[in-house]
Amino acid sequence: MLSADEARHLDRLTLAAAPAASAASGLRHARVRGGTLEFQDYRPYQPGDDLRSIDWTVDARLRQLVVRVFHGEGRLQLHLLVDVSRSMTAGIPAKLQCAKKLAAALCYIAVARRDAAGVATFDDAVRSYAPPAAGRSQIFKVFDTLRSASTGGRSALNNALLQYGAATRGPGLAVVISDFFDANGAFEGLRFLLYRGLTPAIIQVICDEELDPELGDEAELFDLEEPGGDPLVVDAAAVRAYQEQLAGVSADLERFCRAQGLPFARLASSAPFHAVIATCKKAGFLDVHA
Amino acid sequence: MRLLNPYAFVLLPLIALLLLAARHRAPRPRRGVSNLYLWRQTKALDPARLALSRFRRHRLLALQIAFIVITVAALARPVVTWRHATSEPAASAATANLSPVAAARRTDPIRVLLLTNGNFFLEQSLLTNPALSVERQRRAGVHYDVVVCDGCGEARSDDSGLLTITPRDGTPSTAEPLIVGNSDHPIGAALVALGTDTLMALPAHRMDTNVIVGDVILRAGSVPVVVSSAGDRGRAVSMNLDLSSSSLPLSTAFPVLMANIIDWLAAREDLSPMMRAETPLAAPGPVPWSATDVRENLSRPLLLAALAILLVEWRLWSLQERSRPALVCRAIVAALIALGAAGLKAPFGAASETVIFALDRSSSLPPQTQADALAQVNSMASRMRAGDRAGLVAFGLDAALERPPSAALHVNDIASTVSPVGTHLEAALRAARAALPHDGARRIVLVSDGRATAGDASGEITRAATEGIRIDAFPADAPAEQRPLILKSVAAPQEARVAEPFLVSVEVSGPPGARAELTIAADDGVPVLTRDIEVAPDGTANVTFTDRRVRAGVYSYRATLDGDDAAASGAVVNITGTPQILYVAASSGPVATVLASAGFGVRHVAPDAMLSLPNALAGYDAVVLDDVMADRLPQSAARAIATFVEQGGGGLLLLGTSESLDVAGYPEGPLGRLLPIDVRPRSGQRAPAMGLVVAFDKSGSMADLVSGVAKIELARQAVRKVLDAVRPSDAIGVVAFDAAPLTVSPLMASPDPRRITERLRAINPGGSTAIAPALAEATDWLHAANVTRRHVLLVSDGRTPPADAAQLREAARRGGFELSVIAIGADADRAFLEELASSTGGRAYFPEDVRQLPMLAAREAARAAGGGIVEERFAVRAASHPIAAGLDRDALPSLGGYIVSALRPGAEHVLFSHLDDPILAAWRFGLGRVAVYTADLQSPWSTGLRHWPGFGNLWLQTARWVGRGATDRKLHATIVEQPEGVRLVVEGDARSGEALRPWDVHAAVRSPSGDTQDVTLTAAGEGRYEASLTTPTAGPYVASITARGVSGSVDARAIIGFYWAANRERRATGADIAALTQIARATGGRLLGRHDNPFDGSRPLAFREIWNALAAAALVLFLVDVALRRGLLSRVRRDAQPASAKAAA
Repeated sequence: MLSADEARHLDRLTLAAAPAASAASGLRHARVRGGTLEFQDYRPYQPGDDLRSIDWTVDARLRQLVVRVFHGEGRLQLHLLVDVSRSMTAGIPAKLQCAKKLAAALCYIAVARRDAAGVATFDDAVRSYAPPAAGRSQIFKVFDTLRSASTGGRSALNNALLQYGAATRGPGLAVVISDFFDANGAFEGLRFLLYRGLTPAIIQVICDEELDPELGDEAELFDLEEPGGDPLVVDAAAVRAYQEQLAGVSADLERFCRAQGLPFARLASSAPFHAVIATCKKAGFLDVHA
Repeated sequence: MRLLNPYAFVLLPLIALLLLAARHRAPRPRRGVSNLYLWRQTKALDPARLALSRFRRHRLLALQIAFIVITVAALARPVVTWRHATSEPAASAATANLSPVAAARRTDPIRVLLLTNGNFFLEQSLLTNPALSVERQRRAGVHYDVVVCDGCGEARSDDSGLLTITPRDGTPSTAEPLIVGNSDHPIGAALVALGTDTLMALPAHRMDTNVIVGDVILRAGSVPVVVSSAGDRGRAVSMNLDLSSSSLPLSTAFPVLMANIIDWLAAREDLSPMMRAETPLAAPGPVPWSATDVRENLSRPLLLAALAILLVEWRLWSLQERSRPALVCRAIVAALIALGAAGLKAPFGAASETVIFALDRSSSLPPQTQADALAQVNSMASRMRAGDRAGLVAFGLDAALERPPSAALHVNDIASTVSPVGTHLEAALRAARAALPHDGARRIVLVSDGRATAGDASGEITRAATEGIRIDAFPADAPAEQRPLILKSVAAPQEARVAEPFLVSVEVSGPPGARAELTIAADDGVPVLTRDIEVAPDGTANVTFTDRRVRAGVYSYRATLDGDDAAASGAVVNITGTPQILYVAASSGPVATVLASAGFGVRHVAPDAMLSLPNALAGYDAVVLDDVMADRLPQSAARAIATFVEQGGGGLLLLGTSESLDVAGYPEGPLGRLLPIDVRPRSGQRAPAMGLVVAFDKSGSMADLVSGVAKIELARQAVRKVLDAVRPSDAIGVVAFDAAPLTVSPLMASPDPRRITERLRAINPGGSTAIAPALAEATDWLHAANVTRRHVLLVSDGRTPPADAAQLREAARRGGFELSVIAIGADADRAFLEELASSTGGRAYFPEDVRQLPMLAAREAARAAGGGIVEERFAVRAASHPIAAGLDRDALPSLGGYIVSALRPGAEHVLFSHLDDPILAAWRFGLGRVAVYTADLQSPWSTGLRHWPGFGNLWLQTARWVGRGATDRKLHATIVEQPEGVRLVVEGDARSGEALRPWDVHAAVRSPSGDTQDVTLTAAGEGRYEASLTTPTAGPYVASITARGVSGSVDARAIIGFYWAANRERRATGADIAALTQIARATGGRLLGRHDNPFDGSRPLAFREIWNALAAAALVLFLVDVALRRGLLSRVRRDAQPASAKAAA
């Protein structure tokens, strides 16, 4: 799913998420102090502390009992949530393709940094699921899942996110890649993820046709996910109003993210790979590895 | 427009096909979107917009149907015929009866006579009106509907309308706004509509409103400016407007006003339908227009419209539907339509042939032959193939297109009127060539006898050959016994010497055995030969006779057959010989001696003895008048000299003296207009202003009759002559006297001669004679006036009392004026009067014949005016004139005086004085030439000239130049006949280098009626000069040609005569087979026999317009295009592809 060039490009990147506390060892400094050998700080001794951690030199000099605190270490739990509803098949190239590629890239970055990465595809419910795990073999699992994801369902973002949130718990970075075209919105699901301790990162993928639709004089629009539904007859004059609506929806989403302090990125499906990565960096959840 | 033809049936399936294609994807384009809920939130289409968009969807279909309909309509070649109306009213009795209203319409233009001193706006408003025919001059016998009189004083208006525009009388008035006074009047009504309130007008004079008769149509303020009146004698409009200083003429209302006025004046306002009592309303019948049908093929406009629709329709397709195959398809369709509309032609099939028959209608073909020729044309035209066309041009001296090329030609009667008096092959060929179309095989069949009498057909033949037009010829010939009897030619040598016998031969042609009486007459119409002739079996008869002339001159011979003047022909012979001079003088002068010794034949004659027969001077080349007083030369002789010079080409040399050249002399008589100088007094600075008082006797004795005329009448004439003789700058006064003076006209400059004449008429003789009081009054006038010379001319017939005489002496002694006396009456006191005159420096005359009184008085006045002569020694100067050629300019003599004169326009100096006054002046007059010497050759004035070594040469050259002379060998003149006259060609002798320099060549052509026309020849080549002469009447013409080098190096003259026979068709009979063969050969044609068909022969490939094929192809492709875009074909392909793939698998 990723070419060698793209992979090389990704080698230098890391997920700039907050370090996730985890029992497992990892490359990341955990927020909790842990059992690494790396000194972090002193703190006054409290009863119950391991006597081995008392710094006796300080006690000898200052007659104070202080305990040495060491850095904890942990790994990031990366949850990739990719929308595979039929609406994601729109656009040239299809939004889904862009979404899959991005998911693959993030997975690659996570695995390269010894983080745990897992993927779930969903439409109105979670369709396939590879739970986050560390290790190189996870890449293939994730890639297989992405590749084999079948499209065609209807979107119900809230439903899918609630289902996913119920099955997992934080901490972890949940990257939701979707077009967020759902009349019911996705805020409920996103809030539930937050509640479950996950940090959702929102990546909205929109194709050019949706941004700037070219319609004939009188086009009959039907819903991709519901071909038999009521069509809508619009003309070229309606495009502007539609664009305003689209911008409004997108802005709502961004406002929500900003309010929750969540990373947010909007991607065009036709954007080249490096531009996609650059957008993610700008959104703040990818960082150059120190 | 015929649409219901087979093409209409093509239309239906095509449209059905299109509808089928359109139905394929008639629903809206469907499109899937992932966020329909967002779209739903936009404003949905309202029903109106839906309907509009539905229309838009159908608009495409409508355009497609329109394209198909228009293309099929174009294919149907619709022809629109409309009636092109011409303004020729066809006044047929039938329509007049049927429709009185229509008959009352008069469409002929209103004739307007415009009498104006020039008013731009007035002229423009009339001239630009197409309904008017405006003339500036009244022509006799023409009835004018309207007379426009712009300040022309009195205008005669018989029964026509009169528009009077009063001139400005100078009354100060101001421009005031125009007000329509009578809006019910037809003139005023239109102005109300136009609105005149912004216009200002300046009345010419203030009219009194009370005295106006008629309707006031327009007022400027309170002053009426346009007033109309209708009376028994017609309608009249008076326009009291100063057009030059009003703004009215600048406005658009003015032309309307003028047009309405003219219409009303011409009583044409009934053009508009008007109802009258007791007249039943008649429905207007068809207007009797004569109409011509204009047929116009609409195919091309339709194709262009289809092209436009195609492009618009393409534009309306959505981008997705403009696929590449559709684009290619559409481009091909557009290209096909465009090429079709542009008239692309492709060669296929043999071209059709167009034959124009040129049928000779000249009178050289007898009527029977002409009928045969027409029958032959009909028979030839009947052999044309399908698609061929034939037309007919009838020609004689001009050509007319009788029938334009059409698919069938059968002419029973030639309707065109062509002049039968000539055969103008050139015009015929030109007309035929012009009538031919530009494509296909083109042929002209010339049905003629091939005897062109006018024009030069060779140019047309060459043009026809270059353009690939074949000219076939069919000789139209009458059998020998039907040919008319004609005068084929009258031949005589152009030139012969005096007394040399020459032959005049007449050739007559006609049917063998015909008899006629041939008469040959000389100039004066006297028959010199009458002979009965019989035409020999070969069809000709020749008559020859010998003539000789003993006097030089131009002689003409005129031959007629059986006295038929209309068919007369003739010849002109120019007889040359020794130059003969008629020397008219009381005694032999030095010039006569010079001329005689130089070999001129000089014949002396006393002025009284001069013969005055018109032909008496015919044998002479020039007349010399040496010191001949005008009154000595009989009037008839003077007239003969004038005719001799003007029409006979003779010369006149006038050796003037102060007596013969004065005001009262030649300038008054028949010779006056011949003179190159003007001796009438001129205003100039040389002589100071003079005061002249004429005092004449009105005593009772003046009532006596002298040779039937009262003396007082002679005195009156004398005063009038004096008035003519003095310059305008001189003051003149007239006083009549008996016992007391009676002022006729006080001393003043340029008095009104009419007024003086009237005053003179009122003077009746009576009373005694007392000169002194009159003289005293004259003296008073003269001293009061601001003049430098004072003169009194006293005319008296009797004696005066001694007391009076003493007073006279006293007055003369006190003097200050010069007194001249003319005493009429035998008992005049000569001694006293002479003494009286001489004491003041004046002269006294005692004429024996009282009738000389007016002339004497005028002469004395002219002498007194002092401008008449210049008496001082001066050196003569010579101009560059042929007469002065070769004179030693450095050693010119000095003269003592001359008579002052001025050159007339066109005259030239030969010798001139220090004051640039002519001494010897010369010019051409009519056919002849005139020279005048003004310095009194025999008087002491010219002593220097007489003793000058060049004296003899000067007069010899003068006589040669003036004299008719022999034709100069330097010039060679020929006559080339042309359709409307002849072309005079003069060639200089190329051997002398002078021919290379530009010459100034003139010809004076005398027509048989005696008029002389002056022609300037234009250079047509090196040393070749040409001019066309018009020959309005038949008869002998004489052209006297003068060539002058620009530098004066050449001065040659030639005389050529020719006889213009009116009917030049009567020169030859029978067909000129050789000429016809030559014409046919030159263009690759042939001589047609009676049974030949002009329509066979090789034909080129025809280039035919293929727009119909292109349009049809475009139509089919268009359907394919539509199907492509509807996705019909691509679906077929998609369906076909899996099948083939399966087959491959």
